[in-house]
Amino acid sequence: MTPIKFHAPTEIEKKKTLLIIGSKTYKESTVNSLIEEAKIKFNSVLFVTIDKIQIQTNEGKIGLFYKGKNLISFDAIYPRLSSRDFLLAEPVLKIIDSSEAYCPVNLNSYQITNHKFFTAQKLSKNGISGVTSTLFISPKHADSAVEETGYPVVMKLISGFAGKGVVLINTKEQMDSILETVHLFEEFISTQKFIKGQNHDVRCYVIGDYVIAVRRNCKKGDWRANISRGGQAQLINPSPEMINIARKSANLLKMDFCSVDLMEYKKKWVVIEVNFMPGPFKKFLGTMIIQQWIHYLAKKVSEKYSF
Amino acid sequence: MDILILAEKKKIAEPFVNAIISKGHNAKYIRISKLILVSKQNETLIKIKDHELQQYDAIFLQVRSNLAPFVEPLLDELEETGYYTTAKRGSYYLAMNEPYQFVNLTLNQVPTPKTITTGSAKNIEKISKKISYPLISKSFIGRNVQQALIVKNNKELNAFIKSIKTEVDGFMLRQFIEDHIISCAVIGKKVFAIKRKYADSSLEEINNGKTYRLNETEEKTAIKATLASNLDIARVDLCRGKVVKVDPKVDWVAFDTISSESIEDFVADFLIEKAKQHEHKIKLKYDIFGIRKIFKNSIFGKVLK
Repeated sequence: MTPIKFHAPTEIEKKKTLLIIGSKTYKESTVNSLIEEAKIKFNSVLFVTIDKIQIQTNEGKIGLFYKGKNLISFDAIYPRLSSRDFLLAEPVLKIIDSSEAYCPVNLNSYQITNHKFFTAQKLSKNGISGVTSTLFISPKHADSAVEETGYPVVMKLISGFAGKGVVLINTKEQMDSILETVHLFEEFISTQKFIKGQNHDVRCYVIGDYVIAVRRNCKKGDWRANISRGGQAQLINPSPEMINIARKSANLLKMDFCSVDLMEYKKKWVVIEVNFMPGPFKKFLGTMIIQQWIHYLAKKVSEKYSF
Repeated sequence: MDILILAEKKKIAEPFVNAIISKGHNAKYIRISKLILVSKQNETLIKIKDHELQQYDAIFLQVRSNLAPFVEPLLDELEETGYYTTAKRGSYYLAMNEPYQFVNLTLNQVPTPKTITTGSAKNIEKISKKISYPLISKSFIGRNVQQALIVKNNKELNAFIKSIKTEVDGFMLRQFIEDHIISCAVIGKKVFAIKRKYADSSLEEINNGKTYRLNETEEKTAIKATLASNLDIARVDLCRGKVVKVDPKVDWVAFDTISSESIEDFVADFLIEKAKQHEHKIKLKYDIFGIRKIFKNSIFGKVLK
């Protein structure tokens, strides 16, 4: 794999401004690296967590403010938001979508990628291989849903994140007992056919047209390959099939930045998940992904100014 | 025409089913919780227990906005297949999140009261200076309102903030207009309105309201708010010409009782008209040269089903 070489910042880039909007649950080390890299390419960089932003609407006027500063005046805005930020993320992204600032993600992609079933539905309908998934409200109909996938099945709560809202269910008895609890909390239930794994998956980072692939191995005794759960990661050369699936998924959701998680099933790569706010795997990859994000943001701003 | 009413309870759907049938068309009620969405290779199935949802010319959706995580993928599929639905993609996400709804209305030039939303209570007193008292203060957990209170001064606002003992996701402060509320049932371009008095710090229940004749501007605003919220049928609440609420679910019993006209008939006519417009737009699965559609209502219909 040939890493992109970064050029020294141009005069135009030096004048540019970048706003990074962080989740309430942001990871400090990721944010520090983002700011550090961004300061090389941008003249002014502001990081603000979403809960500190004021959303103002009045007489047809609308604004996003932080300490009196109108945040829409930035050249580029990079929101890194999770499913825990829904209340504020939806209005903030709606305002960003309607502004002139460059943003590598959008409201629609946030709503879809934070809903596992919706993601599977959107991708499958557009010819991108996924895993058979179901979505239902009433636990009474769990049997009919599982008819489509069979046991074992992976149950995901719509609000689940970082693998923590995910349960592997092997039998109907297990399913019944879990559904009782879930229903009490009025959660929506999505099930996904369980792919007996090779104890790894592949995360494809999409940054514009560029795709970086990382193989993630499960922690011993865990069936999930989340790094946040103690897994390992290593860079690999993505196959043309992986690149194609990752790019197609990102294009469909109109995202310049995302990660697409893939697993091998029946000798084909299928999409398990698309992430709106992927972690940069600093422990294994250093600041490589972060540098690519910032490089791309700066490039987009330069293009905007060159017209 | 075949029209489907998707609701949470039979008693909500029944008057509409009867009104449509009385006009010589087919109507059916299905409880939304009976639906299962299945995403398979290249297609999404909408299942009811062990069979697929049959073809309808129009679908009338009357469910609570907090079912958005289920309703949105459902609406996406129905729209992609070419169904007419009274609620469009995105409408339930808008209805479920009040700050998002207000931003969307403002972006669509719909008049709303001055509103500020923030995630932290830290500077709330400072923020409140941007809106004059009295104001409505709301706290949220997720996208749901946790508490709402009318506050008249800093002291009351601070007491409200201090009364919140759990971790919340945000606060909304909105200009409070001390006046009656006009609750509207919008059905396409037809609007029914009920005036609800505000007195002694409380708002009259919708069931106790009185019929109200909207002026032209109010009527236009109610329709504009409905359309901006991706809906054809909605409840819109107005206060001195400003929109304070848009909900895809309407309290039909209240409107029907208070209004002298049969609202079910208006809804039925509206749905039949929409069904006629959309009859041929549904992309039938496994339909070669439209044969399935032609035979659907014939004696072969059951075999095809």
